Amino acid sequence: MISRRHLLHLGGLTALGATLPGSTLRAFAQRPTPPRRLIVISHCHGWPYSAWKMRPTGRSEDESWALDLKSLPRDAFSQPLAPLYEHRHRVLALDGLSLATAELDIGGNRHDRGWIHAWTGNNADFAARDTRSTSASLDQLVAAHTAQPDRLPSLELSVDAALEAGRPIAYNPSGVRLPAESTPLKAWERVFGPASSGDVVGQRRRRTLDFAYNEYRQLAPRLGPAERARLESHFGLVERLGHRLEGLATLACHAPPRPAASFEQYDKRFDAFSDIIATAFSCDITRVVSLSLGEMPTAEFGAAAISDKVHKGIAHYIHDDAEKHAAMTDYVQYHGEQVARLVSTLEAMPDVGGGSMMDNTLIIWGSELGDGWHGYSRYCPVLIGGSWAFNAGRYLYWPHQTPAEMRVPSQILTGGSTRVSGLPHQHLLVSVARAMGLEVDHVGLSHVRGQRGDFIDVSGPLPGLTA
Amino acid sequence: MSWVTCLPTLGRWVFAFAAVLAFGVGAPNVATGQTPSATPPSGSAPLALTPAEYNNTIADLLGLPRDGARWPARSALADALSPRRTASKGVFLPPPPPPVWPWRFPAEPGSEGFEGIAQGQSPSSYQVEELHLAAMHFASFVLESPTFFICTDWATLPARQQESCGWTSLERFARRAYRRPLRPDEQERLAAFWTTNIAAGPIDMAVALTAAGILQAPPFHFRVDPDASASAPSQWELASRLSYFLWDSMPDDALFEAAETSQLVDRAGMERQARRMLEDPKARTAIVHFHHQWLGTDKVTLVAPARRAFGPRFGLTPRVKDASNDDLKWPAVMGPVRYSMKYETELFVEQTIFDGAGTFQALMTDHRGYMSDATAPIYGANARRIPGGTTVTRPIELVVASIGRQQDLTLYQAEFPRSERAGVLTLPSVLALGAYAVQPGPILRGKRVLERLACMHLGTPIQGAEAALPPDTLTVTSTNRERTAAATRPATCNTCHRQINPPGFAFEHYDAIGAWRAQDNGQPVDASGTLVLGDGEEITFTDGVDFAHQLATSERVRNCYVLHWTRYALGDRLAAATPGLEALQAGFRNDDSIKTLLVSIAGSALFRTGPSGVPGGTP
Repeated sequence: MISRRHLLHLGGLTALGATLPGSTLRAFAQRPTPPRRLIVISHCHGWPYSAWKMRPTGRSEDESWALDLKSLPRDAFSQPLAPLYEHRHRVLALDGLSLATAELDIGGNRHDRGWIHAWTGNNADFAARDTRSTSASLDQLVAAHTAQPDRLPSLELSVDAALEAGRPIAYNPSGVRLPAESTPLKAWERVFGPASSGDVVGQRRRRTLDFAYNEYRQLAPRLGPAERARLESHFGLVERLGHRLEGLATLACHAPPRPAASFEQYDKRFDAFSDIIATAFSCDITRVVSLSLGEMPTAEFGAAAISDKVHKGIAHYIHDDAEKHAAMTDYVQYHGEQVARLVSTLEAMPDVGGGSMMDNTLIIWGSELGDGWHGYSRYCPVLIGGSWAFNAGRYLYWPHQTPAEMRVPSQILTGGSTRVSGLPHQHLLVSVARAMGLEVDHVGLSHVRGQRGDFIDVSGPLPGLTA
Repeated sequence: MSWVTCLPTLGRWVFAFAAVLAFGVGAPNVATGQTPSATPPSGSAPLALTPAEYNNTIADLLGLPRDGARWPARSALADALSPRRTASKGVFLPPPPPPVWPWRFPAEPGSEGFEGIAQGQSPSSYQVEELHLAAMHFASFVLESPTFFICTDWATLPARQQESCGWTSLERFARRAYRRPLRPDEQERLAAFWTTNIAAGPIDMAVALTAAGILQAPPFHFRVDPDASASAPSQWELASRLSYFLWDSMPDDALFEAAETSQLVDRAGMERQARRMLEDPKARTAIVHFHHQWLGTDKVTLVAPARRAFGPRFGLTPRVKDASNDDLKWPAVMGPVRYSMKYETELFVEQTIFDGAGTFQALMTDHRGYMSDATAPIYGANARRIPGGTTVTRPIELVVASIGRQQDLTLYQAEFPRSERAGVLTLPSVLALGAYAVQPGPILRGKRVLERLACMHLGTPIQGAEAALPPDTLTVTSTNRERTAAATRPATCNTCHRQINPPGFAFEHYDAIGAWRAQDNGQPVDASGTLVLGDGEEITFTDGVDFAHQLATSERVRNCYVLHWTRYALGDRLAAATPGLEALQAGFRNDDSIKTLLVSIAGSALFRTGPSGVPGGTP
C-alpha cells in the first residue's frame, strides 16, 4: 500500500461538526494561515463600453487616472458596474486594456481566439480538430502552484444554455481544453461525491497506483543512486496522486444540499454553482475555480422581445442598434448581479483568522471579446478581492497608446481600425498570477510585434494595482 | 513461435537468466529478487519513455495501428475506469470526439532541442496524472486488442478458464511491457494484484485494472536495467536501446529473440539488427521524428505569416473588410499551407534517406521534394511537378469558424530550380520558422545554422535585444539585410551578431513564407557572406544554395550531425569530445550514407556500453 504519511493533516477536516460555518472554523483552526483562492469568471460578448465606462467630469482621456469608488454614491456607478456597488471597496475596474495579442494572432473564430488569449495570454493553435492553446490558462498555472496533494487542484464549471454551450476558458499545459461541468448536480458529485457516496472508481484507480508504487519500492534497492533518485522523484508524485484520490474519498465536510437534477433558470444554476464553490473553498477541497458563463436566455434579462438569442440576435448589432446596445447593457448588468451574489456568499462565510472567505479570495471577471461586434479593442475586466495584493476600491483608466492596430466598426472610426490599442491584457494576467504567489514575469506571450512592426512588451504586471 | 509465447514463464526466466549470466551478473535471490551484489552499480539516470515513444509502444503492445481513427471505439469499461475526454464545445458545434490514440502528454522540456535525453526529462505532477489517466484509458483496450489474449473467444469461456487465460495473457503482456522477462518476485506480486482485482470483480474489469498497474510500473515507463553488469547493459536493455533509437517504440519479437539468444553481444549482432530494423516502416517515422526535432519543424503548424503581407499571393485582399466573416478567410488559406509545409518536410527527409541517395549531401542539397496546391503560390512558376512522380495524400485537421474540420491534402513530387532550392535549409517550413509575420528573420535563421547545424552555443541575448530589432513592417526604406545589420551594429550586439548574421543573410533570397525572391524592397538581394565556424573553418558563399552545398561538406557540420544522432541514440547529452564519438565521425566522413551512420552508431561501443564503457570515457 502507498504510505499514508501525508494524510495526517486531514485530521482537522475529518473531525468536522455538522454545520457551517462553525464546522469550517474548527477545520481551519488547525491551519494557521488561510489559503488564497482564485475564481476566474468569463462571460461572453464583452461589454458595451460606452455604457460600462465611468467618466466623472474633469477626467482626461489622454492621461492615466484613478477614481476612488469607495467615496462614490450609488448613482455615480455605470449601469453594468452598479451591481458591484455594495462590494465597491473590493473592486478594481480596469479601463484601458485590450486583447491586443488576439488581434495580432491569426486563425480561428474571434470568439475562440479570444478565449485562448484572454485566459492563457498566448497564441491559439487551430491546426487540430479542436481549438487548442499553446500554454496553460491562468487558472491552471495558479492551480499547479496552489494545489494540495490530496485535493482537487481546480474545478472547472460552466453555466450555459443548451445551444452554444461550454465556452472554453481552461487549458492544460498541453494546450487541451479542460471540460467544464455544466450541471450543478454533477459538479456536486465530483466535489462532494467521493466522501458522501463512496468512490468505487477512485478505489480502483488507487489500487493501480499502489501496485505501481510498490513495484518501485521493490525495485529501488537494485538501482544505482542516479537511477533511484530519478525514479524516486517520479514515484513520489505517484504517491501524492494516490493521496489525492484517498483524501477526497475520506474527507468529512458538510456539503451543501444536493442540487436539483436540472434548473430551469440560468440564474438559479449560477447560484447553485456559487454554493458549491463557497463550500468547496470552506472545506479547502480546491483553491481555484474557473466559471465560464455561456449563452444566457434573453428572457432572463428582459430582452426576449428583441431576440431569443444573445449571440446572433443582439450582440453582433451592439454598434448598429441602440435598443440592442441597451439590451447588452442589461445583459452585463445581469451578470454583474450574479457575480455580486457570489461575492456576498463568500463574504458571509467566516474564514480562519476572523475575516470572511472573500478576504482571501480573488475574482477576475473578464470575457473573450471587447464587445459583441467581435472587437478586441475595449477590454474591461474587473478584479474583486485580492486585498492582500491589491489596493482595491478604485476605477483605473489608462489611455490607449500601445502600437497595435485594433479593428473597430466603421461607425466608430472611419477606416475600421485604430492606430493604437490599450494595454495588452497579459499585464493583468501577470498581476493576478503574482497575487496568487507565482513568481512570473509573463503569462503566455512575453512580447509581440504590432502590425506596423513595433515591438510590444507584454511582460510584467499592470501598473498601479498595488499603489 | 515468439519468445513471449513459447516457454512457461519460470523456464523463460531461467533461460533468460542463463543468458544474462554470460555477462557476469550475479544470480538473483529467488526470495527477494535482488542480486547478491552489496552495492548496486552507480548507473546514470534512466530514460523515461517520451510522449512519442509512449504512444508508439502502447500501439505496438496492443497490436493496434498507429492511427487512432482505426482503433476500436472507447468502451463502457473505459468510461468506468477513467473520465471520458470530451472536448468542450466551440461557439457553434462540438468538435469531433478526441481520438482514442495517441494520448496528448505535456511536451518534455528537452535537451539540446531533443526529447528523450535524460538531462531534459523531469517529472511533474501534471505529467504523472496524465500518465495515470492514460494508463487507465489504454488498459481498457487490452480487451479489444487482437494480440492480448492467448486464448480465443475469451468472452464466452467458463469462469475458471477465463481466469486462467486472463492470467497467462497478463503475464505475457507484462513481459512485453517490461521488455524483459519478469523476475520471480515481480511475477508473484503481479499474481497477487490479479487475484485482488478478480475478487473485486468483474473479470473484464480485473483484466483492465491489472493491465493499468503494469502500464504504471517502473519497468514500463522507465528504461531501467536492474540486470546490468558493471561493464555492460543486459541483452534486454540493448534490445530496448536499439528499438527506441530506430523505432521510437518497443522491440518486436525478432529483437526480443535476439536478446534472448544473446545475439546482441557484439558489434556484428547489433549492426545486423539495426540493418533489419531500418528496413521496417517504423524506422521511417522515427527518423523523420528526429529530423523534426533537429530542425524544429514539428512546430511549423504554428507559424503566423501576416495577411497584409501575403494575402494577395493567395488571392485575398491585404486588409480584412469586416471582423466577422472576412476575418476567417486567411486562417482557412493558411491552415493547409502550414500542414503542407510540415508534410513536405517529412516527405523530403523520408524520401531522401530511404528512397533517394540516402546521403547527408543529398539531405543538404537535393533540389527535389514535394509540394501541394496549397503551397504552389510559394514555390512559384518555376516549380515543376515530376511527371509520373509519387502522389501522397495526408489528413489535415483545422478549426475554421469554430468548427473542427478534417480533410485530405494531396502532395506530389516536384522539382525546383537548382538555383532556388537545396536541401532542408531551403524548405519553406524551415524558412517560415525563421521569420516574423512580415519579414524574414536572418537572426533566427543564422542562429539555427550555428546551433543546430554547427553545434555552436551562442548564449542568451542581451536584455532588450528583441526590442532592438528593426520593425517588422512592410513600409520600409531599405533592405531587410541593411536594417538588420544596422540594428546589430552597436558593439554590444556585434560581438555575437558578426557571427550570427552571415548565415542568416545567406537566406535573404527567401521571404517570410519561404518563397524565393530576387529583390527585396526593390533592391537586388545580397545573400553573400563569410562564416567562420568553430575550429576556424571558413565558408564563403554567394547565396543560400551555395551555402547549403558548402555546409554539406563542412567537417564541423557533419560532426555535429553525428553528435546529435549519438546523443539521441543514447539519450545522453554527450560532450563533443566524448571518446568513441570521433570514430563515428571519421566513419561518416568516409561514408556519407545516413543509414550506414545509424548502423555504425548501433554497433559502436559507445552505444552498447555508454561513455563509461569506452576507453577514456567517464568512469
